[in-house]
Amino acid sequence: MEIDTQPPVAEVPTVEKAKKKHNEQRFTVRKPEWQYLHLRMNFDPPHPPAYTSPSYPPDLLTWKTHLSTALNQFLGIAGTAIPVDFLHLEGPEVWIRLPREDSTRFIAAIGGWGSEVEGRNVGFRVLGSTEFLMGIVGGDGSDVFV
Amino acid sequence: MVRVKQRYLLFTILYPSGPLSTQTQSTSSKTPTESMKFHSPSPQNLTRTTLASIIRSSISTNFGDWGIGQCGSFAVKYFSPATSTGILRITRENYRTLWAALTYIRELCGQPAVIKVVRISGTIVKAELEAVKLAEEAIRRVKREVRVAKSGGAGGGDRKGVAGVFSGGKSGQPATVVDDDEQDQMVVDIVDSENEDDDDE
Amino acid sequence: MFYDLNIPWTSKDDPELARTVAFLGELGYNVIALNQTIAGKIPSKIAGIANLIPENPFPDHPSIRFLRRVTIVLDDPSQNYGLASLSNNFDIVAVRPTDEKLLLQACTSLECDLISLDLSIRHPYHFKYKILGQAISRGIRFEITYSASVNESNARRNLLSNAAALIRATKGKGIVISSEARKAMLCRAPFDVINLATLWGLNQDKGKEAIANGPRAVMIQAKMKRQSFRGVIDVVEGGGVPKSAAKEVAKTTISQKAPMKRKTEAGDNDSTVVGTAKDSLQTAESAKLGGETTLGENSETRPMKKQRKKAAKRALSGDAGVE
Repeated sequence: MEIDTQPPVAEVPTVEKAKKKHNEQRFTVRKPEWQYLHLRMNFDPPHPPAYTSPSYPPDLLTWKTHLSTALNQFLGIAGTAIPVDFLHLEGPEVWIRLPREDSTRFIAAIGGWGSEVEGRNVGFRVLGSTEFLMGIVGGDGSDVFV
Repeated sequence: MVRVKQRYLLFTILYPSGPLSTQTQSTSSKTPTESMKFHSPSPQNLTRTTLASIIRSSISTNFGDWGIGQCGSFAVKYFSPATSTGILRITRENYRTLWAALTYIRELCGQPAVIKVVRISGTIVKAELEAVKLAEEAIRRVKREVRVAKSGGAGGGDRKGVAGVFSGGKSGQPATVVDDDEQDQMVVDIVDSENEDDDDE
Repeated sequence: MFYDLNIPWTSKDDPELARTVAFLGELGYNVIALNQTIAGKIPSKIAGIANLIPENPFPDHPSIRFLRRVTIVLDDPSQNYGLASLSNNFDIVAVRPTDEKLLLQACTSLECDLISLDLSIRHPYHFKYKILGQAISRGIRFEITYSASVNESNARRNLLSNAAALIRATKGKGIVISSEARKAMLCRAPFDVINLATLWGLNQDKGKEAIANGPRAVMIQAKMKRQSFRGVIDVVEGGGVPKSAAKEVAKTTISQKAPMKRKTEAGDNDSTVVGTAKDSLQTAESAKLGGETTLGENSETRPMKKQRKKAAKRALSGDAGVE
């Protein structure tokens, strides 16, 4: 931090002087560490609106089980080794975070997976994928922290 | 047209728990020489096809459907149970995945086994030459040790054990001392069978 | 030269250990460190350690060099007392922190050569470069052990994600790969291990370094910390200097620069001072911290000149404070 030791100058700086002092700084994040995904669990036939049961909306454990089954089928042990952090859970949707290098494989694995639970076909849908959290929260981001 | 680039993996199978139990019986329970302790012939039922299916299942558990899709198209070009040496062919982009799957294999036919990749090459000829070199090297090592053992008075028991190592697991065949002619025959065998593989490419 | 810095020590007569050692030799390893793990309080005397590794446990393997290593399982921040005394009896001192706080302590202040994290279990925290980088800049390396991942699929899963995270966090620097194999069948050949490392995110060169030059640096650093002057200058036997010249060098240089305990050895006519440039480069960082503290303990053995210098320095800094 710079501390100005000069006595304060009474005159108001001109516009040119102020412009010169302005220093533009650019910073590019080349390799972000994480990739943020917004996923939804799709059910077919769909549940009626405002429907709740012990198995719907899916809880964290259900998400983890389904995701790891999908990953294990497509990528084997190497796939289940992808560390997934769950950030937020809301209804049939989830916001997760994983290492950026793994995101392509991850999306490929869950996109092609389908199963049947309680007479309904279950699958995943990627609603958003971005390297910065703000990209998937939408709006001012307040809905993540409900 | 762009040529499809291949990689040839020359591998040997090591048996860390020593020679197979059936083998030790046929060679009158004498241990082989020190350097050949972990090199024993593979079990009879380990053929090219069984080996391929073991490797494929390892790819499947470790790398899933994607792994099978990427490197399930490998081919076991050559496998000799007598020397536990073989050559695999795989497209160049995927050889590391296949290699990792080989590394993760723990046992073959119920016997603890370690697959060691000795050489990666772009042509099968180089892999063959390396295989021949490897076999010659092994024979030289054994001969040297047998000589040392003989002069040390430990005697022919070891010789017999060595012969057992190289008699190729043919249990009916009596264990005989490997002489120079037989060695040459073995080396030629290796080259011959590889050439056959080359022909059907 | 390939190194395996972690083979758990059981006993001299254990057939499985003997077989593991023989098998590693067959696979092409040249240096093997036998590892003794100490959990809980560090014994204040060396006699307090049960089942100590003997000097040369396997004389029938002349081509393999054996090192003695100790791993201390850290589960209490006050445990580091007596850590330095271990380095006199072991070639490598490693620590295994069990939580993030202890990892931070190990990275920033502990006197060790190697940090060995258990990567076959899930850790409730992320590895951060901010923490790990401090260890790397001090010359301490991180160990990845692979044998558990060969043995069992759950450990394989955890190792894959942990090793990838560790390599991402350290940017591939300061990684050492070893086996920790309790059975011969869990060992793998050096190049197979390098290939596994490429799967975790190291490239071929860095993978090779993690099993060849990396462990070598750990070994040499540990040795330099223990017996050299501030981890920079060591007295080694031999060298190409003629006898008469060596005499002079020994007279002039050693008496000024080397510590007392070295001086007695240097009385020999054949010895000469060799500043191992490459090693000192590697250890220069750690010497700043390591050399100061290790030598500080046996201040009696230091030459008077050094002590006087330090006193002068103190006086100087005191003056500066007044100013």
